Amino acid sequence: MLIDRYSWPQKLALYAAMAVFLTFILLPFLEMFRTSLSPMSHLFHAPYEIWSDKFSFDAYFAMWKKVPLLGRYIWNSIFIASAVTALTMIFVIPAAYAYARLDFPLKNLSLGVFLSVNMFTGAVLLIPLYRVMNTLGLLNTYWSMIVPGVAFLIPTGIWLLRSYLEKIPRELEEAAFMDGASRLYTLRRVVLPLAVPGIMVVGVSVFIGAYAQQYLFAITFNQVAELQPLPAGLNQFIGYQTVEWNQMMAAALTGVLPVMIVFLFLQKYLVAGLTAGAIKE
Amino acid sequence: MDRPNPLFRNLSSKLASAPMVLIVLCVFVGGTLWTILFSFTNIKILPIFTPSEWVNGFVGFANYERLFNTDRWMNCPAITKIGTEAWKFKCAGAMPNMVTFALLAITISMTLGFLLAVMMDQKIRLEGVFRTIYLYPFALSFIVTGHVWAWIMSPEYGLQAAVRKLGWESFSFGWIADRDMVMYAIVIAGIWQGTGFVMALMLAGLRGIDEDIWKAARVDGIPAWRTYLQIVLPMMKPVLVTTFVIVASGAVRVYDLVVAMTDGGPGIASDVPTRYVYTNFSANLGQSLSASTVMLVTMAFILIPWIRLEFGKKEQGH
Repeated sequence: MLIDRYSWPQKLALYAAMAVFLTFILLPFLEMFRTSLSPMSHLFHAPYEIWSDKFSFDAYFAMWKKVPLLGRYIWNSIFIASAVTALTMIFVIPAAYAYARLDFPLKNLSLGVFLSVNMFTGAVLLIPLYRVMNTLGLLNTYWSMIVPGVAFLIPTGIWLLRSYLEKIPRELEEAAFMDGASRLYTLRRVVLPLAVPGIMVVGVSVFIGAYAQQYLFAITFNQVAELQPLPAGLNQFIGYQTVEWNQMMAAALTGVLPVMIVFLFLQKYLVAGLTAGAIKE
Repeated sequence: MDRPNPLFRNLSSKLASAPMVLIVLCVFVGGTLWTILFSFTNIKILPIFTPSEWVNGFVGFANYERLFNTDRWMNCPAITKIGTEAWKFKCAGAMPNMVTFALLAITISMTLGFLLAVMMDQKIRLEGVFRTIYLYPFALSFIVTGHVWAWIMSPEYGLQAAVRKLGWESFSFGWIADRDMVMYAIVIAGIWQGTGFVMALMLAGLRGIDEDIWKAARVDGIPAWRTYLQIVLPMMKPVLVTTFVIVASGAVRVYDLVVAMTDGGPGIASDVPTRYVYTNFSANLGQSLSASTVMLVTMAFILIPWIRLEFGKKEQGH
């Protein structure tokens, strides 16, 4: 903004406030890492230490033995989220184009309704969804976690991508029409190449959403251990007597690492994607 | 190639939106209606959807009566007994817990998110770094967030133990095991996960405000804080409403976080409606369905005004 001339106490206060919140955000991550390095005996008995000679990466090796399917869970998580993202985008791209460019009855209202049902929880629709899955014979397959994921993310995807497609100048398409191109040809050859950044942005947001929401579908629609995603698998570190906290934290950190790395590189796009629908220009 | 004729245009638009419309109709609208209809029946196991099943099982509002007489769902003796003074502390059960969580999470995350966005808007250095880190929790799943905060706020191992060992013996932060504090513990975890996202939305809203507004305010000698509060904030109404809806609907459907953090405990002190629906799913289907319907109605109260605001006006404009 225009007010950028602050006195130094004001600046100090500003950065201090930012730093306080930064600490609040970072501390749990650091505590997670510290816990993952601590031996179990250390966690329960030794006095609290920020750092200790006994710290090691042992938990990162032991966790694969304690939960033999851990690698599988991490892979499942990423596979399910990727499949959901791919399928969602296939539905979202043409539909977002329709919402951005074509006129049909109840256009805005229908998007509003789709978007609000999207905000209903899986838990509210859990029972009918279970029924549908059962009828279709999808229970205990990857599909039982992919299909609801796709259904819940399509409306948001359309909402976000539509505002991107609306920014592409209509003149380009009209020029293509003049030359005799069909609408689908125009979508494929003119609009899509221009919309690549927007599609990427929406894809990343959908992936984050798909990665975060898998738990409920997984524990409801799937009983097969080999197909469970990581959030469900983490529960196996909770024993009857003790919780293997160090291994659980190690597994959680390892599991979220791929997403964190993707996030680091695409963060700028993600911010744009998450906010695209909310901001009118 | 041929020029596009009107029929083809229509066809392609229909083709483009057809799969999405079908899925959404089947899954959401069908599922919602099914939930509402069968909440008025006494079915015990998952039925096949037939009208006769519904007619034979019809019991009116019996499920709802039972639901609101169940202490686990809602137990508010103080409303009648003690009066207005103590009701807040006496109300217990899944529904009041959700209301507590929602009110606190919405108020705190939106206030904090707006303040952070305003700070980010002051041309600070390293804005990208701050923004990335603030947004990091959002990329975690609620399960991971829940486990981490359960660890931090557990009385034996977490922050409480650490601070006590440093010498502050009376320090108390073992909220996970404290009936009175456990919902606030979940609020903190929720805020940790969600505030960065709220900030990103608000920041985008701030950046969308016309620079001329600032010039005008400056010429008139209005201090910055008043410009934010009295001019910019009202102009951000659409963003604020959208943010509110996203946070509120997230709060109503909170589930993963509670399950990972406390699993409703200690006892049922942190039970929430979604968990109530889920745990009654196999043994007590009528309760599950009626609880779902109550949540749907709650959701509708939040969403319908938003749909009218966000999508209604443009319809008239076309």
